[in-house]
Amino acid sequence: MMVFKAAFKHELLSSLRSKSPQLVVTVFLVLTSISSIIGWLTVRNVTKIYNDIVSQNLTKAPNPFTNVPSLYYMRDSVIYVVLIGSLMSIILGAQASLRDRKSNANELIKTRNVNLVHRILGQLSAIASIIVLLEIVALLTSFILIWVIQKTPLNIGAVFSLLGYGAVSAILMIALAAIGFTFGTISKSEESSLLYPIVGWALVTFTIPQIITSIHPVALLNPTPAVSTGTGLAQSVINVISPLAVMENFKAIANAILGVDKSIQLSLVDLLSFSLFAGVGVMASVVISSKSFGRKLDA
Amino acid sequence: MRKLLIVTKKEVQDAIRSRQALALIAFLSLSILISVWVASASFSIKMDEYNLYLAALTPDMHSQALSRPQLFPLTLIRSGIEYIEILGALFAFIIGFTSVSRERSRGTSLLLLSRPIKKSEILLAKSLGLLVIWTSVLATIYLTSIAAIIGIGHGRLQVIDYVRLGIVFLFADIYLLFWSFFAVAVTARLKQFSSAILVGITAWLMVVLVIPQIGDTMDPDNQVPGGLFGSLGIVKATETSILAHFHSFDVIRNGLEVTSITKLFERVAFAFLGIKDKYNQLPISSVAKALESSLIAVILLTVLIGISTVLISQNEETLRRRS
Repeated sequence: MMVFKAAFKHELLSSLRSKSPQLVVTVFLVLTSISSIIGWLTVRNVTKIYNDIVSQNLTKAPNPFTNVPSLYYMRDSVIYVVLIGSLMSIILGAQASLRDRKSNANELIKTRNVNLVHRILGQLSAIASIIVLLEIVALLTSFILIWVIQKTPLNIGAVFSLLGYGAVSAILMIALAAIGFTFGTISKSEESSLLYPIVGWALVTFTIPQIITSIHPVALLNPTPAVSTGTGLAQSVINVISPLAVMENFKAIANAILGVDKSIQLSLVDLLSFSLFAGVGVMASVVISSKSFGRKLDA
Repeated sequence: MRKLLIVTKKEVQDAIRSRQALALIAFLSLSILISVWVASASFSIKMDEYNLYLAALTPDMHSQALSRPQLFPLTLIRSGIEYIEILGALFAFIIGFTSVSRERSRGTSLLLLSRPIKKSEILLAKSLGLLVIWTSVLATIYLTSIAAIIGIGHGRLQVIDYVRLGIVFLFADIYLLFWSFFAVAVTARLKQFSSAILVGITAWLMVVLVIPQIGDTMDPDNQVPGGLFGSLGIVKATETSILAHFHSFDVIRNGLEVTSITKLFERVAFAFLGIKDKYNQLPISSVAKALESSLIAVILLTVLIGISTVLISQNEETLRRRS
């Protein structure tokens, strides 16, 4: 327990002092915070367009934004977690394990009687705390901005949805930070420890969903889910590949929790495969990092 | 000139030895093959649905039937172009980054600087090397695309289609060079490799993903599945006249999008390939005229970043720093 506490405290201090990831952390905080404003401006503009159409008697269809939930404004935030939050977490994780390797602290630790699993768990817990803290700041800002936009605070149900969404986002980012941490431990060089997981992230985010659904890679950026036409792949093959589409599962879960798309129901399969990814990601990180501890970086 | 060519040759050889060029060709070729396969499978499903629809019609309704879906072969590589836009840019950054970091971590940059060659010449030669690498990679991908469209997509290509595809890949070359030059400039300028990667990845994230995403979000037609105007039963001509009342919002949205070189590249590529309906089957000269500003902007940005890369060499510490 002593090792865990010491590692936790040390990692927390080191990560907060580290200047390198500050840029990406700032981008994450700014964009997730202002996503509500972007959403609100767009809804306001579309409502104006709708009113213009109605005033010309061109439609009798109801306003598509009537009765949208308060958290509808946050739908872009889900995409920012997938894009920026994921990369930020990989960077935070990789930097944590690289720090020890670069300073040769590993050599010192190997001379002491230190439980490596406890130490790694301490480090990962510290990174997780930072991610949770960042997510709390982003959610709090969104809460205040939606309050200002709607001139009324979120009701208790919406607050719970917001917290649920925050929890799922934090779980995704913590798992990715653990994966980044692993690459920071096993990679031969500093740059490959960042580049390999980032290329892997890009494949999981863009390529796998395309193979399953035929949706174009750029459709990920669109706030409205694209319609899948199928790829002709056998269902059994799709079932095997689907758990790898972690980002799509996350988007489906997050959108269902926020209630931004009524056509999306919280699916048990998505929830299970997402939890499995997070659990396996963290466990594999602890096992691999403790086994590979002490590897030297190439010059 | 000879010194320049020696460094350029070394740059290309390094890329071949490290298997970077091979990995790039393999990945981008695979993405093109997947794209064509997915798009043609999707088209087959659409055709099957259409045939079922036709079969369900009574003979007297055949004259009023919806028109048959048409396959424009070049549109089959749409996702492949999107991969070049997103992942190609990331790989281009990695190639540019490695080109400088390799020299610094091996200490060969110090050796190079001890020879009678200027720092600006080294960076110029590296830029030329990157041009050779990307042109070779994209020439291979060009051939792969043609083979995939004909072999997997069963598309019939006309001579003009080869030219259109060639223009798009030439433009992709310029776009990817922008990212490699940017990486060289950032890596040569910054002290730490990790800082260079973080700055580069943040820039990539913003330019390639975030700015286009905000632009997409601000597009009124992206707010409802199937499009806002489609869901309200508004025809195209009326849509244009309505949007004219909201010109300022659209100017802001468009202004934001054109700050992204990725969006500019996408507009050009989608127009020449006929993915964007309004440019489909238009003569090349008309498309080029309509996209003139985007074409010039991408070329200009790449030239500017290329010049900045060489100018960075004026800094005393450039290439000497070791991470």
